[in-house]
Formats: sequence, structure tokens, C-alpha cells
Amino acid sequence: MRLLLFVARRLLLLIPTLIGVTVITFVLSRAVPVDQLVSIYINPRSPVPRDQQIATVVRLLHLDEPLPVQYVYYLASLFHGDWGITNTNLYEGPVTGALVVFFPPTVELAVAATFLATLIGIPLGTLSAVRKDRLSDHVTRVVALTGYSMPLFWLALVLQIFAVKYAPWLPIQGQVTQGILSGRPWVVGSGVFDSTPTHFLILDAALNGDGEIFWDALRHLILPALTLTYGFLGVILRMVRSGMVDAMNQEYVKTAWSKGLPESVVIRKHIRRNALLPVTTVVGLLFAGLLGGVVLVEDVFIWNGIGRWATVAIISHDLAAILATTLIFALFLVLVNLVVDIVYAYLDPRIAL
Amino acid sequence: MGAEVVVRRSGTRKASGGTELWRGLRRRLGEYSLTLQLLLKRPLAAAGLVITLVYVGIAIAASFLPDRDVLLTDVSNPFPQAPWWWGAGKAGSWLGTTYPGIDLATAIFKAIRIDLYYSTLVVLGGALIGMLVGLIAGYRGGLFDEGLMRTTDVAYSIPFLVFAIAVAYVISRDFLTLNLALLILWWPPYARLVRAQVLAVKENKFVEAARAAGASDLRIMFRHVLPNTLAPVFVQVSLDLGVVIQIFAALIFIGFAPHGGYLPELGALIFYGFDAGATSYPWTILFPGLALVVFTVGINLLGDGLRDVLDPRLRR
Repeated sequence: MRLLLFVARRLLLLIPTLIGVTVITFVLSRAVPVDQLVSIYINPRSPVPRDQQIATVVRLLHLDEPLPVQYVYYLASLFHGDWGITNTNLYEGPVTGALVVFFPPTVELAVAATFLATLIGIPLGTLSAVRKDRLSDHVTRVVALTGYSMPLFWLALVLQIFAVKYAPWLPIQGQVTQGILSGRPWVVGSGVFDSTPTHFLILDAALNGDGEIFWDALRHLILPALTLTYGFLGVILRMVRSGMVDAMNQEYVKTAWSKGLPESVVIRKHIRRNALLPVTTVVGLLFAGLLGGVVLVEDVFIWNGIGRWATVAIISHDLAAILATTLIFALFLVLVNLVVDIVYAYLDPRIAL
Repeated sequence: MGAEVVVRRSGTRKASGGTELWRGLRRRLGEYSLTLQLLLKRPLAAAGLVITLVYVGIAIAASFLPDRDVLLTDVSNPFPQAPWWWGAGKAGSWLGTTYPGIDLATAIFKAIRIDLYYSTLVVLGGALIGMLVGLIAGYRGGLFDEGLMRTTDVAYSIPFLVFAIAVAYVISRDFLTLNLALLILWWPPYARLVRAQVLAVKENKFVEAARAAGASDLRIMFRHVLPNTLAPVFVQVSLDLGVVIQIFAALIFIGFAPHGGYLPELGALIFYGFDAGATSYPWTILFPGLALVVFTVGINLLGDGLRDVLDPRLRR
């Protein structure tokens, strides 16, 4: 019951946040000159004069109304799934359609990286905390810190250089070998490039039992996933370490030691279990943060996700795509925050009080 | 009179205003040197301090380089050349050259200055605004506080990079706009940090004592509460410097630089290398990137060290 109240309150708090986020994107969308805003709807070859066309579009898009009214129209169109039209060489058509195509590859990348970072980060963090202030602790921390301090696009480039030199079998660009998708019965054409029913390439390949593509896509995932993993390993490691160091000084841990419990039991059951609680939050936030950090990494690896779509949109002067990226990242972060808070409250009943 | 109560190791109280100020200053200096001593005892933190100081030194030294030195451009050979020790490299060039014939060593020096300057501007600006808002919100509470919390919620939910891209795209691509865009999202976390501290600090007896002694709200806020909230802000500032430098580099890497001119900035240098072909000319991206990484690692080590040292619970 308490938890339910907590969730309800948390949902109510979501409303001002969402209004704030949409106000920001709205202001940004109206900060460009009108003729640039409507240029995508203008047909230069039409017999109707340009001015007249602009006037019509302005009226249709309610751009002649006062700003607060425009904001309401803006919100309404967002709710109706009318996010504008994007026109880049990656995708032409409604923004919502583009999101459906570009979001899954980004999620695929983020899931892989979050999984790997957690898998490596928790044991390393444990090691670091148990051997606090000794050499292995220092080394682990510096390694983690280096990842955290690295511009990920730079790391991506460095990995590419090394892959070309030492691991030529490792693909350095794209999601799948070019042309390999065409002709498969389960592949659907979408936009300029081939895609798959759910747009989660690896998942689709696995579902359709296509081993060749599954393996190919997995190999393409290695370098970008490693880049992101290294970047975010540090955050998890740091969290596990500080949580465990805090827990080590608690009375119940001293009790456990004095009971004569074996070291591994104390470390795993008493110290780490409590230290992992904040880590759940971090993993959630990390997953969302990854989506932001993914922008340039996708660009370097030519990974056709939201991030690459955004960078291509900059070059193509595609306002709708840029604003949609901002909004979708923000919405996603808000959503993940919500889920994380609720999970946290569920795991730690003290929170919901 | 209340100021005596704030500081833990207070001496005997003197009535004269001048000596009070002098004593306060000396105590503060003593506090700083204690912090420094504790910091230097930790190998990683000490390394961080040294790295940071070296970079600050480079930045200061670079501002004495005349501008033309950056453009040690060898137009006769615009293609990147390796440093002399790389093997078949260009004689006399320590870090090689990048497209179009720019000497990397001098360019990196200049770039460090620009990067340090702008990231300090953003972080300190954000910290100052955030501290002020957080102080008022935490001290006063009420509607202002509620508004602040919702604003930070919004600021937390927009990724910096994406937001900066949108702003730069819509408004203008110059550095000043980028700075302002970052500032908009940069102050709220500081406000929240300070607010949380203020909420804890204002319950202390010494605040009550100051109020009983008739101190005004302003005096309590700035003299008694604010100094006791600064430690986490210092830590955050040092950690954020590394983040902002990375965001700058990233933005400029994807082309949000003032166009039509050569810009000595680390992200831009990496981009030149990337543009020329990173796999054929590895040094063109390796060195500017390393310059960035070493600085960020250094400042992070320093920030971590400060966090440990400034937390009085961990001091003993």
C-alpha cells in the first residue's frame, strides 16, 4: 500500500518534469526563423508564390498564434504522434517512423554495454574494496578512472586503429556486413537500408534461426560495445567500492567477523549485498546515460542508431530530427529514473516511508 | 560573534574587528595547509594534484606563445607526418604534424589553454549560480524550493550533449553560445547539492546560536551556513571540469566549432586526424586524445582525493 502511494506520488511528480522538458524543446523549435521552420513544406517548383505557400503553412501549423497557444498545439501534436518530418539520407518520412527504426539498434548497444560493465564492474569493485589502499586497489581505480575520463569517440577511434592492425577479422564499422541481409526471407526493406521486423537485428536473427547473420551482427557489436563498456565501467566500480567500504565499518559486519564466519561469506553476504543496493540505481541511470554518450560512438562506428541519426541530422540541417532526439532521450531518462526509483523503493522499504 | 562558533578549533575571542578578520584568515589558511598535507599523503591524489598543476602551467605558458606559433603550418607538405622517433618521421617534430601540416606539439599546448579556460568558465559559473539558488532554496524552503527541485528534475533528464547540439544548431555555433547552453543545464545539480547541505547545516546549534544573538538571515546564510556547505561543491567542481572538457571536445568533434578558422582545441585536433584518416596516421588522434585523457584522469584523482580529505568523518 505504501509502495503504491509512493508510485502514485512519483507519477504525479513526473508531470512538471515532462512539462519542463517539452517547454525546452518547444522554445528551441520556435527559436529558428519562420521560413527555415516551414522550408520543408515549401515546393519551389509549385506555381503558387513562395510567400503565399509560407503563409498557408504558417496558418496550418498555427505559427501565427500567441506562443502559449502554440505550445498547447505543440503538446497536442506530440501526443498524436506528429513529431514532424525528417529528411536525411538515412531516413525520409515522419520522425516517429524514424524513431522506430533507429531506437532499437541504440538499445541493443546500450544493453550489451550495460550488461558487460555490470559483469566486470561488480567483481572488480569488490576486489578494490577488499584490498583497499593496496596496489591492486590503486591499479583497478586508475584503470576505471581512465575509462571514465576518456572521450568515448576517441576511444572508439583508438580501438579501430588497433583492430585494423592486430585483429583484421574484427569489423570496425556498421552493424552487419554490407549486402548480407538482402535476399533473406525474413528481412524487410525499410528506408534506405534493409532492416528486420523488430529492428533489433541480433534478436531477429536469433528468432529466425539465422546463425550466419547472428554471428556477423555479434561481431559487429564487439567494438562499439567494448568502447561503451570501458567508458562506464568506472562508474559502477566506484559505486561498488564506496558502498562496500562504507558497509565494512558497520556494526553488523564487525559482528559477522567476530562470529568467526569465513571471509567469503562476510564479503558476499554481509558487505556486498548492502553495497549493491545503490548500484541498482546506478545501473539504471547508466543505461540511460549510455544512450546520451552513445551519440558520437555510433557516429564513429557508423552504427545506425539514434545517435548517428542525430549527427547526420546536424549535417543535413534537419531540425525535426535534432529536436526529436533531444525529446526522446529526455523522455527515456525520465522513464528510467521512474523505474529505478520504484525498484529502489521496492528493494529498500525505508525509502517509501 | 557567531563566526567563532562555526570553526571547530576556535581560539580565544577578541573584541576588535580587525583581529577577528586576521584570525579568521589565519585559521582558514591553516585549514587549507592541513587539507594539502592530507592530500599529499595519498599517492593517487598527489599525482592528480601534480598533473593538474602541470596543465595549469601549460595553459599559462601557452598564453605567452604568440598566435602565429600555433600555425607552424608546413604548407609544402599538408599531409600528416610522424614524429621523428616514430620511424621515418619528420625531423625536429616531437609529436608529428596533422592535416594541414600543423605542428601537433604547439597546437596541443594552445588547445589545452583554450579547453581549460572555457571549461573553468562553465563549471565555476554553474557552481556559483547553483550555490546561490541552492542556498536560498534550502534556507527558505517553500515554493521557491519546490520550484528548484522540479527545475533540477528537468535539467537532470536532458543529456548535455544532445541539448548542446540542439541549442548550438538553433541559435548559433560560437563558443559563447555553447558555454551558455551548458550553463543552463549545469547549475541545477549544484543547487541541489548545496540545498541538501543547507538543510542539514541549518539544523545545527551554531545557527540557532547565531539567530539568538540577533544575526540577520543574510548573515546567517553567508557567514554561517554557506562556508559549511562548500566541501562537496569543491569536489564536484573538480570532477565536473573533466566532464565539461570532454563535452567540448565531443561537440567540436562533430563540427560545432566556429567555422572558417583554425581552432586550436583538443576535440578539433582529434577531428583533423580523423578526417585525414586515423588508421593511416594514428599519431594525429593519439596525442591530442592522450592530452585530454591525462588531464581528466588527473583532475578526477584530485577530486577523489579532495572528497576523502574534506570529509571529516574519514579524516580521523
